[in-house]
Amino acid sequence: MFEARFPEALLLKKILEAIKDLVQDANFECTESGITLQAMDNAHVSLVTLLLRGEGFDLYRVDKPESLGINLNSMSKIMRCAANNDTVTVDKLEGADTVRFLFESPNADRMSEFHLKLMDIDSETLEIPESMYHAEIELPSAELRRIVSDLSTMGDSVRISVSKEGVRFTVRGDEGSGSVILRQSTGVDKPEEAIHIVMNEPVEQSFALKYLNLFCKAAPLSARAQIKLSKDAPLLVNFSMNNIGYLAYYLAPKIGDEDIEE
Amino acid sequence: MCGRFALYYSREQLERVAGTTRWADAKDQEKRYHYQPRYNVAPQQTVPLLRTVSGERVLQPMRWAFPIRGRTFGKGESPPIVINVRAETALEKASFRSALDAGQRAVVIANGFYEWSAADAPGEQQDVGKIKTMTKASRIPYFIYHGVTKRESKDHLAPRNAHDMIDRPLFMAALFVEETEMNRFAIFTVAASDKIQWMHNRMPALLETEDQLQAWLDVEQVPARVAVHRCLQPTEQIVWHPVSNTVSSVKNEGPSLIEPRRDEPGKKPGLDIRSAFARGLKRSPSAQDLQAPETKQMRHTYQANR
Repeated sequence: MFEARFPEALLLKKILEAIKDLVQDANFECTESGITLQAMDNAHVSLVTLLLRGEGFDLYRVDKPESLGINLNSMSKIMRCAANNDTVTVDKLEGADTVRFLFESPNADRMSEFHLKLMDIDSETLEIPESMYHAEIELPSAELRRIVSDLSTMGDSVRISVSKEGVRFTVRGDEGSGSVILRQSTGVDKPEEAIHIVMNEPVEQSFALKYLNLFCKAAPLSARAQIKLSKDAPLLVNFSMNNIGYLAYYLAPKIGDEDIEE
Repeated sequence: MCGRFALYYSREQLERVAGTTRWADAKDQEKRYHYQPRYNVAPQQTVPLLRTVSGERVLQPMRWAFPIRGRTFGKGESPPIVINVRAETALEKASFRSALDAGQRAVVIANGFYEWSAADAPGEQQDVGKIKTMTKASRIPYFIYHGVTKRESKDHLAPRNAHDMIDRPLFMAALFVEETEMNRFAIFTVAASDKIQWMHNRMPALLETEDQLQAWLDVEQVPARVAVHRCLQPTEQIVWHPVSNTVSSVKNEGPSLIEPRRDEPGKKPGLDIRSAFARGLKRSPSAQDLQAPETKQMRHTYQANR
């Protein structure tokens, strides 16, 4: 038996919106401590990881660890049938091949339930090296979304460079080029708008904007986003959901021709 | 399109997968054909296809080059050939129509096929200008094979791994013409499924179920129009991994061709998250920190990072 009750459908809706354009099918691993998901996009260029801690739910019960293989588009269709403030109970009996979604309105006068067929999805779990990053940036997630969206109008890939001067995002396209520079915030008037940059070593890498745009669909989940960069290692973009968990994305860097000649 | 595939079963495995040990009566050139497992089957080459003769399944060697008749060609030129037939228009085109009407349907058995991504980096596939200038050598080949995603398959599959999956056959729908020396065939293609669109816009028509396989081969009971509509559909039941560019040359052969790609020194590395993690691990200055129980499952990693 597995049972989890989300206090609000909205959270689950936002999570699905942030994943379903990147990954079609994924396994939700349900263990005593919580629900995790790890999946690569079809092209294997990026990796998405989700953690929802058991204590973040109204009710959370796992008798035996379960792996729920789910088509995220189908789940998203079901979630659209829930009002944002409905509670959502997800449960599965042992041995069942479907999972049930139960939506209840806040004043308990409306209930609806949907059953979704489970899939057997082959997925390998990547072991992520626990590496130190050369640079870490924390910024408002809306700011990150704006930069990525603005620069996407000019080109396909963005060069992110962190140096003493700050973080520079540069794009070059056929029509021209553009860049945005962020500097460490000095004032502390509005901590939610602050930009923090920690640089251990200067680092500069290019990434496909298409993927960054998909990652930024997670912006509604968290007011703040963290970016971590290391030379040659994948970029990490993390959206932390306070005490509930996080949604994080890894993206393989683009290796430009200039790097190969080294 | 589908322009390269692998068929590396032993003769006995092939016969088991095909469900027959009968081989067709040999024509002139077929007499000289000996089945050999292959990792790099290319157009103009000969492979055994599965077809039915008088209601019975047989394996018959055929050449991968479907001749287009009725087209004029200059002196000294070979007649035009095709290796793929678009399923959507096959019934309308005279050369394919006559073969379909004559019930010349067959099945290519393969362990998997190769496809070169339309652009060197996913996400740039819309950039037509770049694709035009890109040579096959600068694109990344992928080996695509049967993926198990249906829940029902869980019961009779013991421990699953990539190798297990590669051993499951793909049945590709094909069309052939009778020739005096040796029959010639082309593989049907359909619009690529959503899963694989990023790589290429076409994929071979894979017969997914036993029913589809049976219907495609049953040329006496199932008319061409019905078979085309019922059997030739895009499928999501596939998985893939990038492989080395050595497969791009038809001269290369051997099991190394289907092995997952590793970054080649001096060559542009694959834009793959796995190899990116491996590179980061190798060259990261903090690599000495990563010597011991360094690679933990990521949920642990995250708890540590928070």
